[in-house]
Amino acid sequence: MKQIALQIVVLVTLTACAVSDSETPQVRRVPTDAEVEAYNARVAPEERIVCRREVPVGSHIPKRVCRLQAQMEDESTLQRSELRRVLQ
Amino acid sequence: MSKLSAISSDLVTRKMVQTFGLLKAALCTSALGVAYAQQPDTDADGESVWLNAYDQIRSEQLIDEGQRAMSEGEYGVAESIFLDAVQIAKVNFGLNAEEQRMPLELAISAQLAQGKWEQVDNHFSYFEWLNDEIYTRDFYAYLRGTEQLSSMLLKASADTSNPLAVRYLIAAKNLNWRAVSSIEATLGESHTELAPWLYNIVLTHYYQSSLIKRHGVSSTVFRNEQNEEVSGFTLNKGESLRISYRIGRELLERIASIYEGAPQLPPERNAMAQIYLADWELLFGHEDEAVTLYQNAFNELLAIGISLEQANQVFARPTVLPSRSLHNSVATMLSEQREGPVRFNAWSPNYPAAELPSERLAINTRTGADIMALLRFDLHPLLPTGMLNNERTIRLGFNLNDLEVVSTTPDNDLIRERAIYAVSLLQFRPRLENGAPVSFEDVELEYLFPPQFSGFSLTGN
Repeated sequence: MKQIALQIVVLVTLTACAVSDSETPQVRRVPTDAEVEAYNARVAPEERIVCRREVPVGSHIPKRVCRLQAQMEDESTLQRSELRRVLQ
Repeated sequence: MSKLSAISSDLVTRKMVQTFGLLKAALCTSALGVAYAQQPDTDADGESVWLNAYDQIRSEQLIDEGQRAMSEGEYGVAESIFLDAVQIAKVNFGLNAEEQRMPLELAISAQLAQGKWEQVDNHFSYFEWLNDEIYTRDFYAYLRGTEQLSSMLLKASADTSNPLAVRYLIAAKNLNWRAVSSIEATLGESHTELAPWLYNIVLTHYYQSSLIKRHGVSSTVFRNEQNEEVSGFTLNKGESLRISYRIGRELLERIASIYEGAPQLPPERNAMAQIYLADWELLFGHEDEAVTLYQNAFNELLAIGISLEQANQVFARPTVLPSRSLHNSVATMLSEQREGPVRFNAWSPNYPAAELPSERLAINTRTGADIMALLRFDLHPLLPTGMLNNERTIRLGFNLNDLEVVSTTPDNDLIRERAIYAVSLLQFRPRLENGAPVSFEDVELEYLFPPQFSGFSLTGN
């Protein structure tokens, strides 16, 4: 009985792995520096993206993060205004 | 409706101008061309000939006149003459014709020599617009124009008096990237036509890293609330250098992969690509990886049937890095080597340790030109450090040893000191003999200081 249960578990696990290529979700990867530069050369300044290595809070391992440049500008403006509000 | 009629009227006007110009050109070049005579000129026999002001021959004469004025240092006169030639090209060939580009390039060159940065900027924008127009009609003409514009932008970026030097360097790089995208879209992502453009981007990254080493560089541009483009935040020096290194490496690997899939190229193409990759590693201080790659390239040359003698020859002469041009055959690489002392023609004080890429990119000024030094040194396959006279410890270029100045022109102690510093920044491809790194003894190098070099006063010897 125990052996049958184990076989069922193995079978279910393997079936779950047997997904056709078309159903495999696309792996999202961070673009390389050259890809980012090639993209940025073609778009308007506000649509450019910036990638850099950042150390997330709670970790010492740097991670490469890409963001829209406009988003970064907005975030820094917001942070600056918040800081000003708190300090006043 | 009114907009439509305005457009059609504009088209009709352009067509009329074009037709009228062509008609006039045809009449003037015919036997009865004197009928439209407006301006006197002289023929080969010294007799007066009446030419049409918009005749294409007149344009060629203007270009000759302008070039004479340039060589005499009369840049303002040259600029005005070249701009007249641009107008003639517009009348004869159309408002968005390729023929405008040559006189326009010359006019920009004259403006650069005068430091007329606002006019230069406007003409760069016009050139870019013109080139985009040409793209829709003739892809290869667009590529030629992109090369022209990219060279001009680099030339402008090398000028020390240019307040927008960094911006032009980035603009040249972006232009090359757009050319890469257009080649990928038109000819495919692994076409050999991509290789020189990718290598241009690699070189631009070298110039950029040379600039970053001198001072911080704003790496991005954004629009402010007034919709003006301004330089954005600056990546720190280390991060900028790492990005340049990674991009250069990625592009050189891509060139290697393009070469690998191109059997029509010489069989040594893969080994050659490895040499450029090794050069890049060396330039960014990865000496061990570089030497391994050089040795791999050497072994690959032998493996494909290149003789040991010829493989040794590839590494037999000191070569300053980065190489200005990309070769995929041993024969073309060897043809670039010259006898006598190695000559290094420094490009600009903006880019230390960068050689003048081509005569076309030379800055139009005599200031600081003709200052040169002859130096002698050894190249050893190890990592030395050196001490300058002013007590600053610097790391010499990989394998550079016993650096001494033989002579300088003019003879000046300060030039000697500056020559030692400038040459200590250079990197050389190591010499390989039978695949093993060996020493170069008593290498002689002629260092030509860049125009606009003003690091010291030559009066105080």
